[in-house]
Amino acid sequence: MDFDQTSVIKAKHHQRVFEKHYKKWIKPVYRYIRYRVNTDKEAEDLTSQVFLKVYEQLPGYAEKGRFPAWLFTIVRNQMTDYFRTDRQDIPLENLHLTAGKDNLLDHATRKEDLIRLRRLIRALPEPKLELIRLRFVAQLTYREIATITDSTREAVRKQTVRLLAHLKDQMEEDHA
Amino acid sequence: MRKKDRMEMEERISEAAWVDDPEQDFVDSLKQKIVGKGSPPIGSFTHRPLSRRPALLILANVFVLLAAIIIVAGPRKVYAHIKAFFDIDDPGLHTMEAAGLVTDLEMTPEPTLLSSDKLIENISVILNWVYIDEGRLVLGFTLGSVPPGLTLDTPTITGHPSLRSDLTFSSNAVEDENASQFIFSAYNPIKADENAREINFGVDLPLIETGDADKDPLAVYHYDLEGVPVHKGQTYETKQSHPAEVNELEFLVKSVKFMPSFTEVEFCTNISAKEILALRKSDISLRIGEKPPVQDYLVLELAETGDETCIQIGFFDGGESWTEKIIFQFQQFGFVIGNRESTPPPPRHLRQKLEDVGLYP
Repeated sequence: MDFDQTSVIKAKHHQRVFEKHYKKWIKPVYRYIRYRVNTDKEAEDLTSQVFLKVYEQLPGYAEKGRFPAWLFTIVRNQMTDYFRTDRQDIPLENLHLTAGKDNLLDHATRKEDLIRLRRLIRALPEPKLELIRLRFVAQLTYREIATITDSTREAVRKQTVRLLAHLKDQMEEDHA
Repeated sequence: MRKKDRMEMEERISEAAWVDDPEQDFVDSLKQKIVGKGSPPIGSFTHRPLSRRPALLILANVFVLLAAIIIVAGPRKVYAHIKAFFDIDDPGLHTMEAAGLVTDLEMTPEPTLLSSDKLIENISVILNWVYIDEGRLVLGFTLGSVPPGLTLDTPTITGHPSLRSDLTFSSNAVEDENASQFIFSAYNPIKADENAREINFGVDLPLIETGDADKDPLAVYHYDLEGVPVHKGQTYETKQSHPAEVNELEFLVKSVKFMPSFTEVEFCTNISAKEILALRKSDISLRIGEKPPVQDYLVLELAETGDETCIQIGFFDGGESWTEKIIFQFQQFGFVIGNRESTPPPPRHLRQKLEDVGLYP
């Protein structure tokens, strides 16, 4: 096999590896970014830049089994660059309410509750907010989060449970 | 924090933090744009799959453990409740879980959804779903708000020659703010030698005073069910959307068919068919509930398409009980990593393991 053939095979393989990762991660990455920026367009631009970097840097990726950590390093760096130049707050009222049978009053109450919860979430210190983004926005598994945060699955699970309890207490205090 | 509260908070946070998925057009066009740019420099490329070249067979340590807690339930919310109800604390699994090697498959069979509502004395009882297989008959009810002191007794089944008439139901109840979910299950509902694929039958469900099952019921809710499918074995389609991955080997369990004395597992992997067939029997095992692991299996079907191989294997063990934990485990795996003359160095994380067994350098 000469060098050209080897290069072609490697290039094809590289494309396959990228496509596999792209298929699995495009939605979590987009959701993670979209939660932090104001418009779909910004999220699409940032997501595009992330995956372009992934494609370019994939040949140098050698940490087997730790792809989520590598990927989210790129994502976070991208977000840091973005916020350095163009930070804007997200309006709290831009809430998605899932369809339900509730009447208008219930709907309004539920919306108020969600806005309150969203405020509490936004007020969390960065590590806890990041946990919310990874677990509930990007919808990653405990194991994937553990890889990204260099922790264990069990530790992430416990942190999440503690955070849920904290937010529940805060919600109840607000009601009292 | 109670599990119920935790699940409620999870739901609320998911809603508060909801973000829509990207448009499919964007997803497709971005991929096209990136891949269409051509290949990046290849020089330092090290992320590679198992080589397919004929070569030296090396044993690599792989430990993939797929655990499933199987239950019968209806809609997802009920499923979540029941799963919490049956949550099993297994110290043996704990270490594996901490190492991130356990993949919870969250399997549940698909019941027949009914939503048959009966209203007596302003008390509504809805038969939400039914599930029948060779091992179990399970009914899921919702009881609306009732005066204190009333509850449901176990149901009785009438009307089909294939069903045993002496079925004894056990029940599980999950309380909610506005309603109670009742799940009734009975074992071995089908008579021997009966092969009906669909059955019609009736269900009588008595409403009684709490703690006084001997008195006459206050009301009996009756439901006529038609064309309920009888499942042969219990087939569970898994909800595993991403493969478990260890040392670049990927495993994705598609389904498990659970029978009294035989269990079929269908899974896909990025290992070639040839390498799968080189597996030693002792390297794959299935453990059902608390029974010892079984390593006696047959390859029932094997199909290789593109980069993946899908395999259906059958183990000579099964079960009948209401809740089972199934552990499907790969312990060691032989695979090809290069030919003897031009073997590239094995991945860093494998070198020590290969040294330990005398295969490297």
